[in-house]
Amino acid sequence: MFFDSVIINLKISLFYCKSFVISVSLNVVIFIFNIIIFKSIYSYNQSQTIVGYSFSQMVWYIGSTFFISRLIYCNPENSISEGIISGELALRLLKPIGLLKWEYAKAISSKPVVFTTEFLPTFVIFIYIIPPDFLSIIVFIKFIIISALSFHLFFLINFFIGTLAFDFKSARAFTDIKNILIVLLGGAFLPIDFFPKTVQKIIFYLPFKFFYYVPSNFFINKEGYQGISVFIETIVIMLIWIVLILLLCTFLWKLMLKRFCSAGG
Amino acid sequence: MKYIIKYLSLYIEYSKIIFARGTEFKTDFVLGICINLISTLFTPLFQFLIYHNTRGYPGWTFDEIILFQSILLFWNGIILTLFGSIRYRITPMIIYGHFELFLLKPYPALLLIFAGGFNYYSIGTILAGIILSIYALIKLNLIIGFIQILLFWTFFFIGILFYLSIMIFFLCISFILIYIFNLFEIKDRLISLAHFPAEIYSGLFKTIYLIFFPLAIWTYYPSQTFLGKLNIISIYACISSILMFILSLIAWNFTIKKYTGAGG
Repeated sequence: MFFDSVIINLKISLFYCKSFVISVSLNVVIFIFNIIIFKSIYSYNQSQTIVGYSFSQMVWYIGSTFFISRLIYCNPENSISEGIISGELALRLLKPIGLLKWEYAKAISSKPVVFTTEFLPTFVIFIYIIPPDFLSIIVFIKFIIISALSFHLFFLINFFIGTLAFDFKSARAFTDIKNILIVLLGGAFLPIDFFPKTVQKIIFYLPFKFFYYVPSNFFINKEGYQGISVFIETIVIMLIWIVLILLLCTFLWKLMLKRFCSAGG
Repeated sequence: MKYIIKYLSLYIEYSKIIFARGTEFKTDFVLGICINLISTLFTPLFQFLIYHNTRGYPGWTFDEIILFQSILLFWNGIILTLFGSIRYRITPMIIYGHFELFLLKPYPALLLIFAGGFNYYSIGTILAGIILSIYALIKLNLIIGFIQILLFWTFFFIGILFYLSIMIFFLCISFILIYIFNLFEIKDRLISLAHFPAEIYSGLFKTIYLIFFPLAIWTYYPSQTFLGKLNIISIYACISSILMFILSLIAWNFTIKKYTGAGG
C-alpha cells in the first residue's frame, strides 16, 4: 500500500516536470546575483575569508541552500490543515492507509523527480559557474546522507505542526513560526557563524541547524566537518531527533484523533 | 477614473471578506501578524550581521543602510498588505480548475485576482518601516523637503506598477505551466535582489538593476532621494517600469486567450 502511494504521487510529480526547468533557470540567475553580491563584499573587505568562509565556500554555502530547500521541502501540515478546514480529512481517515504513511509517501515520492530534474541540473550549472575546489565524491555522499536525514526531520516537524491543526484548525501561524526558526536558526539566509557567540551556543542545542547549516557545511567541506567522526556523530544526533519527534507525533496524533470532530463535509 | 473607483470598491469588499475569514481563527490571526512582523525583520538583521562581521558595502555607512532597510520594510509592508494573498489563492484555483469561475464574472479576471490580494498579516511591517525610517532620518540628521517627498511617492507608485508587472508575468507562467510548486518562492528570491544597494552590483548586472529590470525603484532610488544623492538615471528606471507594466498586460491578454483550464 505504501509503495503504491509512492508510485501514484511520483506520477503526479512527473506530470508537472516542466516547472523544474523554470525553477532551475531562475535559481541560476539568483546564484549569479549572489556571486556578485559576495564578490563585492569580499573585495571591499580585502579579505580572503569572512568568519572562516572563503569566497568560494560562501557562494556555495548560499547555493547549496537552494538545493537543500528543494531536497527537504514537503508540506504535510498544509495538507492536514486544509483537510480539517474543508472537512475532507474525515474521508481521508477512512482510507486503508494511515495519514502519516500517506503524507510520507507523498513527500518522499517527489524526491527522485526533484533530485534528477532540479537538483542535478542546478548543481552541474553551478559547478560550471564556480568550480567547487573543496568537493569530492566522499564529501558529496556525506552531503546526500545528511540531507536525507534532514528531509525526515523536516517532514516529522511539519507533520507535528499539522497535528496541531486539529486544535487550532489553521496551521498557518505555526508553519510561519517554524519557517522563521528554520530560516533564522537553521542558517538558511546566512551561516550561523555570523551570529554572536552566545546566540550560536543556544542554536547548537536546537534541531534547526540540521536543515541548512549542517548539510551546507558538510557540502563545502568546512573545517570541523571533514572527519568521519563528526559525520557519524551528526548522524547519531539527527537520528535521536528523528526518533524523538516521531514519538511526539505518534503521541499527539492519537490524542488529537480522539478529539477530532469534522468541521465541514 | 470610473475603472479605478470600480476596482477600489471591489478591493474593499474582498478585503472585508478576507479580514472576516481571518478573524475566525483568532490564534492564527494574532500569531500571524506577529510572525509576519518578525520575518520581515530578517533583512535588516542580515545587514546588521554583515556590518557586524565585515566592513559592509562600498559607499554605505551602517546608518545609511538602516535607512535603506527601513524604506524596504515600508515598501514590503505596503506591497504584502495590498497583494500578499494572491499567492495563496491563485495557484490552487488554477490547479483545481476553479479559476474558470473568475472568467464568468462581470469583471476582468486580472482585476479580480488583484482585488482579492489583501493580506492583513503585513500591517505590522508597515508600522515597523515607518518607525525605523524616522529613527534613521533623525540619526542621519536629514531634513526632508517637499520635492523629496514628491519624488519618494513618485518612485513608490511607479514601483507598484513594476511590482504588478512582475506578478502578472509570474501569473502568466503559472497559467501556461499550470503548476509550479515554488513559483512564488522563486519570485520572492528574484525580488529579494532589491534588498541590496546598487553599489553591490557591477557591470551589466548593475545596469539591469538600475534601468532595465529596475529593482532599484523600490528602495534604492527612494533612499538616494532622502540622502540627496539621486541620479538622473532614475528617470530611465521609471520609463522601463511603465513599459514593463504595459508589456505584462499584453502578455496577460495573450495568455488568458490561450488558457484552456486544468480542472473541472
